[in-house]
Amino acid sequence: MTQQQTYDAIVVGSGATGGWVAKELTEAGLEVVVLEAGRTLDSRKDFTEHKRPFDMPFHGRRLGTQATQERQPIQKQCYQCDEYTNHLFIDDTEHPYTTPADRPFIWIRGRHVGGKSIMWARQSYRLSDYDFKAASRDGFGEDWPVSYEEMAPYYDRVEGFVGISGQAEGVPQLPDGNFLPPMNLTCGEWMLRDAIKKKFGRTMTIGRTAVLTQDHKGRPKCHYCGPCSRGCATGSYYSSPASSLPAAAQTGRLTLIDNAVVSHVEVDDDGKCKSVYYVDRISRHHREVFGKIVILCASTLESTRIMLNSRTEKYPNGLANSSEALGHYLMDHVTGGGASGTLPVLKGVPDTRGNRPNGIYVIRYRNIDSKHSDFIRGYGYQGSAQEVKWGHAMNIPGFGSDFKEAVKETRPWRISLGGFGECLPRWENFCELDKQRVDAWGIPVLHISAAYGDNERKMVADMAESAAEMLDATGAEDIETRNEMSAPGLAIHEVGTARMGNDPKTSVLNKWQQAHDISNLFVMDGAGYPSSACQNPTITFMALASRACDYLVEEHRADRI
Amino acid sequence: MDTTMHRRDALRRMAMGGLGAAAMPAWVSKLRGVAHAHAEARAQVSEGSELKVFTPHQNETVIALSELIIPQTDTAGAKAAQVNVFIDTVLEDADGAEREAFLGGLGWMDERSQELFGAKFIEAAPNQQTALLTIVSSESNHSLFDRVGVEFFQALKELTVTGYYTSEIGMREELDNDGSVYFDDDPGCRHPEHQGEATSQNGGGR
Repeated sequence: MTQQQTYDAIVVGSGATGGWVAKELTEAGLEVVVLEAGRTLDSRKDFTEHKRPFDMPFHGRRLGTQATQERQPIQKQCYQCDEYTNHLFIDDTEHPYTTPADRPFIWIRGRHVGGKSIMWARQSYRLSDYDFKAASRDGFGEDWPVSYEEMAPYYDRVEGFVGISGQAEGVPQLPDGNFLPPMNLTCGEWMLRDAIKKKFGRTMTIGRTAVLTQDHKGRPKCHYCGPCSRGCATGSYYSSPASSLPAAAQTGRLTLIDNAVVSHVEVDDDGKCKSVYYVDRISRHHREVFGKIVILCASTLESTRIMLNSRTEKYPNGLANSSEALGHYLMDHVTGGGASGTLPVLKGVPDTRGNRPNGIYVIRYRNIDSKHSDFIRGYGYQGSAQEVKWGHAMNIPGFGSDFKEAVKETRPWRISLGGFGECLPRWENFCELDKQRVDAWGIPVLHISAAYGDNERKMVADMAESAAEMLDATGAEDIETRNEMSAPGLAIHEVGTARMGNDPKTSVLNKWQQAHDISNLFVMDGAGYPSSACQNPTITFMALASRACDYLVEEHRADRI
Repeated sequence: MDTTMHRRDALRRMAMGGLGAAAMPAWVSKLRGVAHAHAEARAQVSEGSELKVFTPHQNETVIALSELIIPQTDTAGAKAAQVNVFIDTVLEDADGAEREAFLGGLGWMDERSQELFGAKFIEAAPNQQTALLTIVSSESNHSLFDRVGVEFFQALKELTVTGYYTSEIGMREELDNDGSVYFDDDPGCRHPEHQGEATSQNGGGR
């Protein structure tokens, strides 16, 4: 990296939002450098979606060797981290963080070009004013400084490029989008949809997912091999290396530096950002990149970590932290409430799910038209109904040809729902720099202290009870409820810690995701979330970033940044 | 039909209550968990592949036992799927205590066979082998004298099931899907009553 060049914009992170920001800004004519902490993946070596179980040295069983498990005690808790994919998740021994013993936080990370957009679950749901203006409805926390009306055109723009397959339902709390054709429901899912509409007036829809059901913007449609989280050689789901980063590169104005582990942002005498420092991941050399604008897209907690670690005499509490809110109001989606059962009526009915890489979604119904007595906000469910091919075998006693035949003859249709609930923003859920520890590159690590509270606990109990009721209404039997609140972080929907707001005294970013304190510092990932809503957040991260990019470009042209 | 199913399910649940997973010691559930977690199985290794844990005798015994659990019928059995190789690989990576418990169980089967039939397991007659497996697989067998064998059988069965249904030949012949099946589309439910307002006419939202 030469020190002579000053980029128009430095983007830290190359995941779902970093890639998107690079695309928007380069297309608007800016010279952009993207710094990515990890390596560039090679789809032929790193992607394993076409590996069969018996192709894997350790059979695809969870994480493979014990040696791997020892390096990934945190990552292995992620349902997507297994023998096929463990190389897409960080080595926990190189990337430590600390928590209080009684307040665990599960921090799942991927460091490579594309970030978690490689392994994400692709579910894409718009927020509505039930979310953006939730505080006004129930009095807890702060409204977002944006409304659905302001966001809708940006959802349209992002969805138009990304390609979201889904079904329009006309439900106001989950606005319909600019959808590609939906994937199909299985028989059991149709039964659930019909039953809960009839009995409860609730809507279950096919998952809205960033997987292409038709060719789109030069990318081929899905070939239904199944396990998207292992990568996609055809680029048929949205990941930044398959779509937004190539679009940015097409402009000739993108510089992508991989293996660049950012430590902090450097400010000039006026207190404005002037450069970003990073450590070369491999050589461990320290480097500096200069730019007129810095945009953090490093992921919710990493972006905040960079701001906290950029403390100077002028900014002793970290960058953009005159409010002292930086690091606070950490949220995730609470999970752990749900139910599963079997659908005996479908015995023998062929399962038509095939390799559909998508589930179903029950749209939030709590605290919409009436107030729930136990908790505020709400949750949605994800789930599926499909025939189990052999997972039930251990329930069948005995051995021999009768046993083998029984496994085939008694394949159950299994139906399950699991809730994803809104987590309230609380000051006491926070992260700060751990002054005692550094990571493998000498950069101070985070101390994260978070726990769910009473509202989340009651919500999870309702998730469990209501899921069982809905499965019962569908005709399910052997219903088992699950009511065990997850640890924060495990939903991998972590948001907050640099929240947006109109008041610089209580928020870090303004409604354009621009730091109140520093006009040329933006944070365009999940850190800006003022409240968590209950929808999978990535598409909203991208829509927010898209909106902020419009503003940034205008301000840059007018020389106001 | 339906009532038969329900009755069988009910019986099974009652039976499992007597000797379900919860009754199993930690090593059994750990090994089972290890094998089951992502439910994927063993590579096809050529005939001459080297064993990592098993002695030749132990290997022969595991081959015989696994084939008794999932035999060749009109489709391949556990032997053809080389489930023994899968189990050998799992055990190599298991905790020492789990590995020793499994191997101890394997030895117990030989000793019990010797007591009952005067021959090690693989040398016993087919009906004798079946008789011994019936003893250790019985869900109503709560005899403390058989506990080692009962626990061993549970671990062995789980490993056999996982190894078999994720093997190339097991997937191809028993599941009609060897893992290379892709689709042009996801076909969806074909029931006429499920072709209703939603997906069939939807061309992509607005």
